[in-house]
This record gives sequence, structure tokens and C-alpha cells, in this order.
Amino acid sequence: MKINCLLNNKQAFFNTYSDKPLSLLLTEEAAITSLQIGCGTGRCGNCILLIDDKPVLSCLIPAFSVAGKRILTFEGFTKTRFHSEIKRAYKKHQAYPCDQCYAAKTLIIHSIISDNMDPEPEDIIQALQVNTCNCLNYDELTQIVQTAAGFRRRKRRVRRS
Amino acid sequence: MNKDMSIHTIHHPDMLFGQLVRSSIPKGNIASISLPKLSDDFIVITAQDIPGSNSIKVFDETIPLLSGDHIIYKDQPILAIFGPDRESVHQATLQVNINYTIDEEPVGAVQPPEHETSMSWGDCESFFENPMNTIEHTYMTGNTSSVPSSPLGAVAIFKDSAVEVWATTQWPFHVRKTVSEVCGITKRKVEVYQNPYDHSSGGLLLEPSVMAALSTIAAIKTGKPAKMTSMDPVFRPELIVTKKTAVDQDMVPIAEKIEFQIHLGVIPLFADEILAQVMEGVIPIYHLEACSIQARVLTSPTVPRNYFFGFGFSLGLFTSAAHASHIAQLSLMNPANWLMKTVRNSTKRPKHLVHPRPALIKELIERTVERSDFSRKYAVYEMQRRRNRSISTFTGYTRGVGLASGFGVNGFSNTYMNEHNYSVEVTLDVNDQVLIKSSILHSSTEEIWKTIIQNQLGINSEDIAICQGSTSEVLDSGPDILNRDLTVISLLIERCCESIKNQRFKEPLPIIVKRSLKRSKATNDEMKKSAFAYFTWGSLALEIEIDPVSLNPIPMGVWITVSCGHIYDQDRLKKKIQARVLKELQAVMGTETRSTYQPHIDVEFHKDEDAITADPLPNILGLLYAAYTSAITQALNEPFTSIPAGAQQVFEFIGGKK
Ligand code: FES
Repeated sequence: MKINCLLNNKQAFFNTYSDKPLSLLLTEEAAITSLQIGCGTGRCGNCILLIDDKPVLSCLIPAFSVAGKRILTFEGFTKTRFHSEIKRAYKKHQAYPCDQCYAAKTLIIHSIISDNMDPEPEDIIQALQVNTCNCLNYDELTQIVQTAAGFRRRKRRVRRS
Repeated sequence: MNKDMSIHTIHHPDMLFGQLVRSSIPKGNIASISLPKLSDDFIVITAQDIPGSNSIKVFDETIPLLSGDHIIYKDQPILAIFGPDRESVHQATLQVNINYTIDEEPVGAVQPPEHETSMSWGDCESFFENPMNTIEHTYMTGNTSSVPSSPLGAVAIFKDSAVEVWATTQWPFHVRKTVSEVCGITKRKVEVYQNPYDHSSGGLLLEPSVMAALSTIAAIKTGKPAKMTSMDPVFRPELIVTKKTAVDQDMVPIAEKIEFQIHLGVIPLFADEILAQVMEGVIPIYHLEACSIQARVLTSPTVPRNYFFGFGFSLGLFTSAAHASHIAQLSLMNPANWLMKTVRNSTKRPKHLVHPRPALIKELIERTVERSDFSRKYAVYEMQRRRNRSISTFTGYTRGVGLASGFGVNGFSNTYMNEHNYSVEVTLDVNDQVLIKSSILHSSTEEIWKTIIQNQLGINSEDIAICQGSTSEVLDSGPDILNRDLTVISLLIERCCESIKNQRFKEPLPIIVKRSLKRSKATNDEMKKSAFAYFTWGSLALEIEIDPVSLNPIPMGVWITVSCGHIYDQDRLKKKIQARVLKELQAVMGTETRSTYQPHIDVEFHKDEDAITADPLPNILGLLYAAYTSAITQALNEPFTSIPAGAQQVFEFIGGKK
């Protein structure tokens, strides 16, 4: 089955079979190296990417279902202006996700603050629960998200003025 | 190709994908195999297609790679199919039809024990003849399986009569040896690179070598790169410990009879080491006039078990610490006070066992009690327990708090580690920088090695690097199971440093020193003296609340005080402990998802700068299981003696009680 989609803002064409997960398609055929396929069964939450701006577990999504959609992986995200806000927030709190979940947590944080620039701790915890890696605790994650949201709010104010 | 890449990201356009077909019976013979019609793009590998030896050797144990005609355990690999894409290979494996003649033996029968050991001191029987009281409990660690949190797999590329292999292995030299023996090619022509693997499960030993060998055969036969990955569950060994303790009128233990058995699946891999470690764990820290221990390893026609954080030491420690808590609870004393009263030096305890350090234990317990407010909480929940309330959504909470204290050991026992070869090379170069060569991939113990070099040679940690390359660039440092990197490698690094120190300022730089531990058969007398070289001491309190609706025991807080020698980076170690405790709580509760509620985990290090640096995790995990079950025991007012212990177990337990 042939599909086309927008991968990291570039048109991409793939040939896929019926139940190939998106995670494998991207790692094996699109040379996406940031995807950490951990469990492959939807449990670890390390294979997160954004489809039409919403975080999804790419190991649970059949590749054919992304035809015509917009996919943003961590590689693509690092090229956006939003990445630096989250990086600064990690630095400010001297708390960094581990290598396994860095990409996934960063994309989830981006999606949280894209939805709501003043998120409540409960919303933050709920969203980040998808990733089961315990390298950062919820207090740290909540602080990081709120700091990153603050950076984004400030940037927006500066842009407006 | 980057060695940090997940095995999934290694891809070539004409790559073949492989999948195993496994036995559906535990014991018997293969009568016939019928394969589906496959195009030329596929290749099937059976035992007859193996050019070299159809077996995998791990230390002194050998296991068939693919079963020939005979099946020796359920899920034994029978054949592998490689093809151009995963889906068609998967479909092909589903169409393979295998007829068996089944052996008469009942399924799941446990074979007679192959490894047994016993130990005793004092005249145990005499104390049990007229005991004031005896307390008996059986502790169990269930047959827990888990899916590795990162994929297992191997990729093989055959070029110019040599093979390059990438594998998610903890021991690349084992992969190299297996590939060489199975494929009948010399070791020199096999180069193995490590890919990241799941450290939390201890890293698997056999599976990556199996997949690497089969992928190599496919690559040699077709000339195409071949890959095999798996997400099959892995199983932990199951431990059953029965403890019978004779106590005096003050509920102070006098003598104890301990019997344990550990189930390892089809091959008793590391059986003697496992017996030594569990033995060390099951012996309590409280004083005993006499003690007798009977231990045995069981095998059965089931998949070989894997090793998670220690060869069973943590599981053994769980049983001894939980039993101590149960006796303390029966004594109606606060467990902290009871432990401090019953732990003391004893000349009775055999020399080769770890001897408790009462002053240190007392200090660790006091620190934990103070920070966790243990005494007050214990008194409150004890009052509730004695009122014998049942769980109710209307009458408030059901809570409990547990405390456990004890020591932990690291790595292999001394005698065992001497039986295998491990090498390390340390180079002091012309820029006064140090390079360590060892086949270890992960960085969790890097800081400890750096501390050793810093202390011995006065070199800054930024100037110390660890070389991690393929098997042709690093030295064989043995399997990465169980903190071997801490015990054996640390020892070797120390020896290298000593030699460099002697040569420094006399010999020109660079100075390159290689040290190995060679096989030396220990005599029986030496075996009796065996002990572990690296210890930690710890105390842990844990508070839980049983959710009245879901019946989940929800951890409210964990307080840990640990003494593990000099610590290079406290914050990093603290984080590592906190992350591991959270993961282990999930496992022990039988949940895989991350709950929205995270308990407060407070870690404090006891300063013991003179002690040798050791990994505190085996100690902490054993204490965690014990404190967790003790807290549930208090909350439910009935001894809770097995792990995992989650909502389902609480439900069954309450049902049984009714
Ligand atoms: S790989 Fe674990 S959730 Fe997708």
C-alpha cells in the first residue's frame, strides 16, 4: 500500500504493508533515529511523536493510517523555535530526561504548552503519564513544564509588542 | 553506524527479517514439520542447516540452539524463517505445522533438584524440642514475567568472508563466541558491536546470542544483511522460602530453620552462585544461637529464567527482612526497637557469612525512623490494626507502615568470580589522561571507576574516558550481569592503578596496564571461606494506603538511609535510586503503567568514606519488598508473605480471609 504524508514538514512517500507500525516504518525506511522504540507494545511511551500536533504512541499506530497527515518527530521538532524553550527549562531546573525518554518527554511537554500556556499540575501529570520512564519525578516535570510555558508566554508577549 | 542506536534503527534496503518458531509442548519429539510454500525471497533455518555446533555454551552449561528432533522445554526454538518483510515472515511462521510425539511426563513437572546445599551452626534441633513459641511463614516471589523495556535483537552483515554483528547484548564476547561456534567461522572474522539493552532486567544473556547466530547463518546463506528482533516476555526465577523460628518469652529469636528452593527453568545456569547469594540473603541479621538452612535449585521443562538485579540476593533479603518484621509485630513492639534490640554481634555466626554491624544498623534505623515519623505512624496504624477493622469505602483509610533493615552484597561471591576470565586495560597517556578499556556499555558505574582512578592517580574525572567499541577494540570483561562491573572490574581497575602508580615518573608515558582475573579452581576449604567483597547497609521505611475501591496498595512515602562507601555524585545516585524504587514499586504492585500519584522518596546517605564503594540497589530492593509486605500486613492485619502484591492479591487475600 502506498501512502504519502508530511514528515517533518517535507513530503514523504512510503510503501507499507497492512499492519506495520508507524514506529518501524519511520525508523527503518525514513532514517528517523530519534524514535526510541522500547517495548513496541504501547507500555513504555518512548516512541511518542506528534500527528497533526497531537502526541501519539507510534508503535500502536498502523503506518497506513497516517496517509495525508502531518508527522513531527523529535528531529523535526529540534528545528523549530519551540525547542529552545524546553531546553532552557531543563537547564534552569538542572533536571534532564534520560536518553531513552528525552525525545518523548520533550514532545509531550511541547504539546502540553501548545494546548495551554498556563497548564495546571494535574493536566501536566496526566499528559506525561503516557511516558513511564521514572528518570524525572512529577514535581520536577511540573516545574519544567511551567517554566517552559512561562518562556513561551514571554516570547509571545514580546512578539505581539 | 552509531552503537547507541536502538536495534530497530539499523536498516538496510535489502535486509531480511527473521522470526523464530517455538515448541508448543514441554517435552517430546518432533514427528514431522510441514512448511508453507515460500518464494525464493525466504530462507528457513532448522537444526540441519547449522554449519557448526547446534549449541550455546554459557560457562559450564550447554543448551541446544535449535531443537533437532527432541524438545526439552516449552517454547524451545525449533526453526527460524527469514524473509523480506516482517509481516510476510510472521504469516509464514503461522503456517508452519509441527507434529509432536509427547512424552508421558506430566506438563510442568519439576525435575529432581540438581544443586543442593546446606549450612548450619549451633544445635538447632535442641531449641525446637521445647520452644517457648515458634513462628512459621512461607515467603514466595511469584512467577513474574515481564516484557523487556527495550527491544532485543541482532543484525548480521556478511562481507568479504567476515561478519559484523550488532546485538542488544550484555556480553559481546559471548555473542562472538556463539556466532563463531555455530557458524563454523573463526572468532577473528566475527566483530560484535553492542546496542543498548534493558539494564533493568539485568540484561539477557542467551537470547541476543541466539538471534545473532541465526541472523549470521541467514546473512551467510543469502549474502544479505539479516535482522532478528523479539519482544517475547522474560521470566524471573521463583523463590519459595519457609522460615520456622523458635523464640523466647520476649519474642526474641533463638533458633531458625530455613528451607528454600529456587526454580530456574530448563537449565540451572549460575546455580551455585544463586544458591550462595540467596543463602546470604535469607539469613537474618538478628542474633541466632542456632540456625540450619537447606537449599536447592529446581529445574523444569520451561524457558530458562533471567536474572534481575542480583542472582537472587534481593529476593532472599526480602524474606529475611519481612520475617523479622512479622516477628516484631507479634512481639507487640515497634519493629525499629525490636530490630535494634535483636541485632548484635555473635561469635556463633560462621566466619564466611556477612556479620551485622549493630552500631551502624542502629544509626541507620534511627535516621530512617526520625525522617519518616515511623514510630508515631506505626503506633496509630497498630491501634487501627488491633481494632481489626475491615476495608470500607465509608470508614476511612486502611494504612500500614513497614520498616526493614539489613545489608546488601554486590556481584559474585569471591570464589565464583575467580572462576572466569575478566580483563581490563588502563592507559595513562602523555597528556595525563586515562583511558579504560572494558566491554561494558552502560555508564551507571562509570562514576565509581572514575572515583577509584581519581583517588589512586589524582586525575580529574574529565580526563578519564571509557573506551566502548566493538570486540576488536575492547577487552572481554565478562557478562554484565549483576554489578560484575562493580566488583570484579573495580578490583581490576584498582590493580591497574597500583601498577601505574609504581611505574609513574619512572617509566615514559604512555603506561598501559592490563589486568585479568584468571580461572583458578577453588578448593573445598576455600569455598567455605567464600564471601562477598562489597557490602552496603541500609534501612528503609514505607507507608501504604489500601485504596478502598481499587484495593491497590498505594505507596505514600519511602524513606531510605543507606551506607555505601564514598559516593562520587550524590545527586545522580539519589536519582538513580528514586527511579529504580518507583519502577520496582510498579512491578511489585503488578502494574505497568505510571500512576498519577508518585510517593515521596527520601534518600539519605550515611557517610562512610572509608568503606569500599558499592552499589546500594540490591540492598534497597530487598528492603523495599520487605517493608512493602510488612506495611500491607499491618494494613490488612494478616501476614502478607508474597510478592508481587497488588490489588488482585489483596482481593484474593480478603476473599480467602472471609
Ligand atoms: S515503544 Fe513502548 S510505547 Fe511505543
